[in-house]
Amino acid sequence: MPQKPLLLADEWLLGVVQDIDLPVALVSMQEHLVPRHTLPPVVEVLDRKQALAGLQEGRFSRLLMSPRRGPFWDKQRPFVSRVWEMRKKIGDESLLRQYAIPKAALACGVPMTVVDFSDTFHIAEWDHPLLQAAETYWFREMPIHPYHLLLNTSRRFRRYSNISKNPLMREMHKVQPISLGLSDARQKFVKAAAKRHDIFFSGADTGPARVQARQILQRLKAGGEFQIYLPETTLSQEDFYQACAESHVVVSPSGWGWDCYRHYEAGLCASVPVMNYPTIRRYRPFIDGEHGFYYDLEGDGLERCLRKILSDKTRLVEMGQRARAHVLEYHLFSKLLRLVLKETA
Amino acid sequence: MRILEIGGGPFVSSYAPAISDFYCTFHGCDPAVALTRRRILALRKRLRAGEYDLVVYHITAKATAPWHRGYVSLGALGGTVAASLLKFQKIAWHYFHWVLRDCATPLIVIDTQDAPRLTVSESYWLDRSQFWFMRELPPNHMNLFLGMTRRCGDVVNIQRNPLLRRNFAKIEPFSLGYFAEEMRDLKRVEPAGKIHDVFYAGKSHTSSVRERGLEELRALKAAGVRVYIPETRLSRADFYQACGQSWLVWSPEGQGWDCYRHYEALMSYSVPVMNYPTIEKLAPLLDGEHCFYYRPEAGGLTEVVQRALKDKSALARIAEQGRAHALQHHARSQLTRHVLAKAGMLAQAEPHLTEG
Repeated sequence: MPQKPLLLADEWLLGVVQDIDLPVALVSMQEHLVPRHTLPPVVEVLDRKQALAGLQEGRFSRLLMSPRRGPFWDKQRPFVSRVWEMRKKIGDESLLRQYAIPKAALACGVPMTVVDFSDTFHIAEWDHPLLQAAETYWFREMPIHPYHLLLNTSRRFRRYSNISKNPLMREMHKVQPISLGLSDARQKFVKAAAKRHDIFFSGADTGPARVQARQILQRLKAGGEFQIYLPETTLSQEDFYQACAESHVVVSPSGWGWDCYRHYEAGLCASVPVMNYPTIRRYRPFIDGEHGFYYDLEGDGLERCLRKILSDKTRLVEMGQRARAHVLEYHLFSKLLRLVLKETA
Repeated sequence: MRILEIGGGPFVSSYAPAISDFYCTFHGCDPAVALTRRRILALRKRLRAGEYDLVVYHITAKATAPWHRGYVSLGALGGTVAASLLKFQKIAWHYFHWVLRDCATPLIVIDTQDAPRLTVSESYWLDRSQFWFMRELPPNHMNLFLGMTRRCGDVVNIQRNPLLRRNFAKIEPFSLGYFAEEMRDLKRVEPAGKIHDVFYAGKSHTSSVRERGLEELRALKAAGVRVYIPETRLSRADFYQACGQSWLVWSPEGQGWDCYRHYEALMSYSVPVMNYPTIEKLAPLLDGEHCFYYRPEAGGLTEVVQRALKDKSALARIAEQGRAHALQHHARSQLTRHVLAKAGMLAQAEPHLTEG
């Protein structure tokens, strides 16, 4: 029986798995999440016991897992509180999956890869052993400075001087950037359209960059200098993609994390994403002036950037096409999964 | 008016010596300015008598109270407290803050440490302060509190914390700045005096951005670009001279993004090349107007250096504009004015301010 990868997935990774075209086995970190997703037939859904048996039998070539949701034994709580908490944790199926499966994989010599698509940009204390055990640790919000992956994650990591001396720093070469990407299925929403708007922005006000961008765009819209589409209500996915395709540029400020689906949605619709300067190390980044633009968050950075780039719309159309090609080549979920599973198309 | 400054080193008091008192919290500092028990008690009396109009904390390294339960074990805690009592400097700051809680004198904190995070102790100071000027300020200010306690694991929980929520508005970006007194005698370097294309001097083991960039610089050197990377440590005068003799000074982030070198390059009539900023900045240097930014991923530095070196007249203009910008906003004397203006005391203090 040919070996296949085993995926231990949180909600982020489950979203990505919808576009997989390779045979894989899947264990969800939380059982109730699976019915929410339409999984392709190549995905074999297992429970904990089946996964552990499969690991013993050598059925799996690799364990690809998301970071764990929480600690079994929370070292940051006072001792009495820890013991009290154990009451709830014993027999918690979700926690058992997160801890038993990687432990078994390690015991059976199955190589391990961790992929973190979430907003957070540090490796939690309970995942430090995963960093030591994994071959590669793919990280979406990968800080530029490796110390920030560990800073404040444990009592020992309050100061740079302590982090620099810690053996975990020797594992940092394993941490690689990965993008948030975009589902392959989203391509069905993309339709060629004539450019009607100069600028488009739609999104929840998560994070100060978005609040600031909305205020600047409202002011510019009132000035009447540019054709700005700034819907007040949430758009349907179809309408959102249509608005992207009909706009020369899509303003895409960071939310809780820097990386955002909107960056890639704009690119996919052959529009040019305008983003604030990245605070993270990225996988196959949009290059400034080639696939997208970056602006300073301070003062009138966004306004200056928009004024500069909207003077040459022919260039924007060409850049939009390049951004689309870039997204199709590197940032679709299927491409990212192949990357982390080390499979080549 | 009178200002009391406490910290790792003088900031405001360097530029307002006539109206300020400075006390140092570092172990091994000049005994004349050390914050001893006796001085704290004297300051307590003076604060209660309303002799000071403003208190400034200048934080240059992480401040965590030795009794904070973040310390690994009770044994370590006992050891730290015992050591602290013997070396009073270690706890003087926290003891003084306890004194400060008894009076209403406004507190301003200037945080120039490398780490873009606050400790629990610092979060209580934030609550007491009027403004918190932060050098390494993440664009989303809530990230300052990541991992501070076990309830601060992500920004969603941080924004629910009432203590932190009511203090977000106090946090302001700040610049590391440069010491004008060191740069005063630098002579203007004309384009004919530029003998290097790119110059870099600095430690590289603390930052992967520096390690990767150095590889690119060496490749550029092999391709014929005049790159100057001295093998040994330069004296300050030689460093400024080399900056002035170069068209570009590579100034990547170290342990923090902001760096003295950014402003020293500008003051030496050169143009800094920095990786994309990861922090919110005070009076930011603008790409193509005062400096160049590059993406830290592979190839970013090479592209920007090659593009910048194509137009030397533009480089000369950018160097002039950047220097004027640094003079106006990033000299430490100007930063002191910014702090005092925020506190609403600039008009009173201005006659007493010096340029250092």
